[in-house]
Amino acid sequence: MASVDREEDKAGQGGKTARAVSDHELAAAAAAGDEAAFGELMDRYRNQITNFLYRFLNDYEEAVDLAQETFVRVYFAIDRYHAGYAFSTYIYRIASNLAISELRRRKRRRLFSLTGLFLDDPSDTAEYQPADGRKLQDASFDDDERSAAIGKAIATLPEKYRVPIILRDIEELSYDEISNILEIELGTTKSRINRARGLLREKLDKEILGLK
Amino acid sequence: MTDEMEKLSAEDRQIAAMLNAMPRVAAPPDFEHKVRGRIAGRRQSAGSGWRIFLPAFAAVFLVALGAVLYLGVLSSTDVADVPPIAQAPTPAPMPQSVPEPTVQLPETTEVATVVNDNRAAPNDGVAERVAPPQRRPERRAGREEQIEGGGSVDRAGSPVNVTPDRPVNANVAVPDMRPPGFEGGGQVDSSEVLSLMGLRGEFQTDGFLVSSAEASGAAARAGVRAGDVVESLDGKKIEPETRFASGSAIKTISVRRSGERLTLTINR
Repeated sequence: MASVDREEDKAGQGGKTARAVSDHELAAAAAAGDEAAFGELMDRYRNQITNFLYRFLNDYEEAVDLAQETFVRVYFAIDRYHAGYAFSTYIYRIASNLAISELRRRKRRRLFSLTGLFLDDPSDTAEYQPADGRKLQDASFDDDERSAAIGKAIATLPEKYRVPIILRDIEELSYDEISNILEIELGTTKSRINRARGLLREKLDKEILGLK
Repeated sequence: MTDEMEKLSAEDRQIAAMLNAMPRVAAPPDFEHKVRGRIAGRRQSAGSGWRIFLPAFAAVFLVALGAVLYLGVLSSTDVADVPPIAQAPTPAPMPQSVPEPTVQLPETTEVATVVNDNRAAPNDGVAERVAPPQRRPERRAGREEQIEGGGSVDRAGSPVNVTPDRPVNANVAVPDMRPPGFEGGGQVDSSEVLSLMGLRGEFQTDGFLVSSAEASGAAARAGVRAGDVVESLDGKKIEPETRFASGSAIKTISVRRSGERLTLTINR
């Protein structure tokens, strides 16, 4: 495939619409240097990845930043992608690893709280600001109290439970795909998702649950 | 997800439904533009990344080159410093002490040395002689009478297979292992002579201050005692550089004792 025509209609974002060109073909074209193919992959997955990272970090700016970094990593490592897995598995794995790394970086920053010492990017001179309760971009998305409460509850889950439940109940990936992304057994995947739901149930106020 | 929802408990189903119903966020409009910008930045930094290490590589290369040159100079100097054998500056060291014999000493008082040249000392003054090393027997064929009953020493002066079958002289000299033609051959310096006479001490400006005299030594039997200052042997002033002909028999020893000068006779 010499080149890929960018789809003008992005109404079906999230890979839910039938496409003439598969992800594998786009990835192969991108690996061959087709910039348009890489742009098409970005169109298909940028919203999914941004939403996944937003729910994981509960911070929109950070989520967008990591989503962009995810695509940069994909771009430079596209030749390592092989068709044995779905492209979504590949890109979600990169995004998950970045998100988990970001969480650990936040923990280190909290521990040492020294300006600039533990920043990976020297140009990133902004000191870490923990997620606050202000209604920023969240307001336009979680404009009701219940969504905000759920978002905060998800953000308090341990990372090993947070990733699978977001991938399953928000991104609606299959158990098999989640186990491939996390590189864990299928049974472990199901167990962690069930455990995550139980933890959320404990964290969420019964009143919130009863709002439904 | 519907099949799974049927298997879930009511509470889990409610949680899953709530999560699924949460509003989705979208990437900002300039998302792709920023990603492209990052990619271009990484490419630029990756392309110039090796240049960061260029000074380090150059420094390592220069250090390695310097080390190689330095070691090369050292090794060539080592070879140049090796003197030719004919110019060996020092002969094999003569031992300052001779192992104490375990056999009965005869009543001889000669200071005997062995020479390795043809200027052998006259036989009349030599009571005992030591066999030179058994190497090069063809060169010693004419001197077999001189090595009867003698012992052998190695180059360091240590006795080798000393199996005396008759009394030997305690004042055994170590054969001179210096190469033939060596300018100092056939002579021994004063310290060796004094040592062979059983004297220990040190040179001073006016002679050799005796710190101890072996009772069985020729000097002690002549009357030299600790504290004496040996001034001359056979009238030849004693200095570190004074040399005596090998095999020569010392007849008199002049000492200064408490300011008094004494000339003692070596008893034979």
